[in-house]
Amino acid sequence: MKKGFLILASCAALALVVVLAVRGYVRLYPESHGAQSEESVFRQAEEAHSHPDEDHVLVPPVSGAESAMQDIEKKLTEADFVDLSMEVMDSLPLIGDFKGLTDKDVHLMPEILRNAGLEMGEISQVLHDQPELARQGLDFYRTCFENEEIPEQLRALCFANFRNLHTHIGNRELDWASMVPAKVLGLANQIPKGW
Amino acid sequence: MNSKAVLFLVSGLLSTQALHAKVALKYSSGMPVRQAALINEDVSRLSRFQPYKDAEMSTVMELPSPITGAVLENWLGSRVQYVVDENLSIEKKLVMIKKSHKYENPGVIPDAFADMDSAEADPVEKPEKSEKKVMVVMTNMGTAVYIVGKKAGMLLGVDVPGLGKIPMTSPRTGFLQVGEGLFANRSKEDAKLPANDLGKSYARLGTMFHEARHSDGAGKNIGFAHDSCTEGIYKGYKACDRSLNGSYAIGAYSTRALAENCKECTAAQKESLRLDYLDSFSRLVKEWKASPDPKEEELREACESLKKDGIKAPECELLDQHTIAFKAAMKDARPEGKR
Repeated sequence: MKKGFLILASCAALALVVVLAVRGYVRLYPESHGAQSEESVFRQAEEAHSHPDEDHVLVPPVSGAESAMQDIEKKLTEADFVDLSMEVMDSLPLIGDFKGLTDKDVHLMPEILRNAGLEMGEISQVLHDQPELARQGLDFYRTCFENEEIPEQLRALCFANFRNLHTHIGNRELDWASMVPAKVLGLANQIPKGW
Repeated sequence: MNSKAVLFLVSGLLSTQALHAKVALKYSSGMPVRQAALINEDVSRLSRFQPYKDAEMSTVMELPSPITGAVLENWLGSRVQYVVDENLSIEKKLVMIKKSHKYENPGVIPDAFADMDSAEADPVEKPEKSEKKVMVVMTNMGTAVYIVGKKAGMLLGVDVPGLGKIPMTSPRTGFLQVGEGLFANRSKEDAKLPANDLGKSYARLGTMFHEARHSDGAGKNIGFAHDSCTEGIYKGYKACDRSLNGSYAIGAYSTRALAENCKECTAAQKESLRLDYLDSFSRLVKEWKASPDPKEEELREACESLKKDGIKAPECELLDQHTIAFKAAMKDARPEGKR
C-alpha cells in the first residue's frame, strides 16, 4: 500500500515537473536575471546569421577534420616533403626569440610557439597520410630534437615523434635516455607511446 | 502530508539534476555573440568526452576514475560561472557590496598581494595606468577582486551590464574575462581553419580549465598564483607553478585528456594540442633552490642578473651557501567562502 503510494507520488511529481517545465515555470538550469543564457546566445547567433555584419559573422559549420582533409588531398613526393620540412624547420622559434616578451605574453603559450604547433601539425599530418615518407620524417624530427637552440618543449615533441615513428616502422629500440637532456626526455614521456 | 511528499520528491529530482549540472555560463551583455557561441560550443563538447583513465590527472584534479564528460563538466562548472567581455573595465565597475565582511582565514592573503601598497589595493583609489595594449586571452578576474576585497576587509563586487552586481564572496564565484586573443588567428595557417575547429576548440577549453584552477585555494594560496620559472624560455617570468596541482598542471592534464581521448581529431590537430600541453607541463617547477629568507631571495635575483653579465660578486657566492633545496608538492585546493 505504502509502496504503491510512493510510486504514484513519484509519477505525479515527475509529471508536475514536466508540465511546469513545458509551461516555462520551472527552469532545470539556473539563469540569472538579465544574463544571456546559452539558449538566448544561440538564438542571437541564429539572428546574426540571417543579418550578418562585421561583428556578427558566424563560423561556417566546417569541421577541422574536413578542412585539414582539403589541404592534404594532394600527395607529396619525397622532394616535396624535404622542401616542406626545411620550410617548417626554418620557421621553428629559437630560444632567443622569446626574449623581450612581457609577463602577459607568456602567461599562456606565446603566439610564436602556438604557430610552431600548427607547422608541426602539418608535418605530422603528412606523415600519417603518407607512411612511405617515414624515413624523411625521422630525419626531420632528429634534426629538430638535436638542435639545442630550439625550446625544450618543441624538442620534446620532436623527440617523442621520432621515438614513436621509429618504433612504429619496426626499428629496434634505442638508448633513448642518452639522446636528449633529462628535461626534454621527461617532457617527451608525457606523450603516449604509439604513432 | 501528500503535498509535502510531492515537494520532497520534486526537490529530490531537481537536486539530482543539479548533481549532473552542465556548465551554465552567464555572459555580460557586451560579450560578442560570436565569442559566446564559440565558448558554449567548446563547453558542450565535454558532454561527448568518452571515459578516460589517467591516474595522475585524477589525483591532481581530485576526480574519480575513469574520468567522464559529466565529471569534467562538473569540475569546470563549479569553478566558472560568469564570462565578461574584454571591454568591460573591471576597475571602473568595481562596487562595494558590504562595508565589512567576515572572511575565512582573516588577514591571510597571497604574498604577492600582501606586498601591494595600500593605494594599489584600495578599490576606491584607482590610478589610471598607461600600459602597452596586450590582447586579452582569458583572465580570472573574480579571484583578483576577491583578494582585493579581502585585503580591504570589505565585500566587493562587479556591476556587469546584463548581469547586475556580482558579489565576489569566494574565488569560486568563477568570474572570467575573455578577449579577442582567445579566438584570434595567429598565422596564415591558423586563419585557414574555422574558429570552431576541434583543435582550436580544445585549446580554448584547456585555457578555461587553467583559469578555473585560479578559482581554488585558501589563505596564502588563494587563486594558486603563479611562481617564477627557474629555467627554460620562461626563466625569470612569473609563468610557472611550484606546486604539482596548480593552473599549469590542470591545463596540461585536461588538454592531454582532450587531445589523446579524441577520436575525431586529425593528426595535425593532435600535434598542435600536444605542443600546447607540453608547454604547460614544462612550467611545473618540481625542484628548486632558494633561501629561507625572502630578502635574500631579492638579492638572489640581482645576483642572477650580474651572473648573466659575467660579473662575479663575493656576496653572491656567499648566498649560494645559504640555499635550501625544495621539492614541489600538491597544495590544498579547497576554496575560501561560498558562491
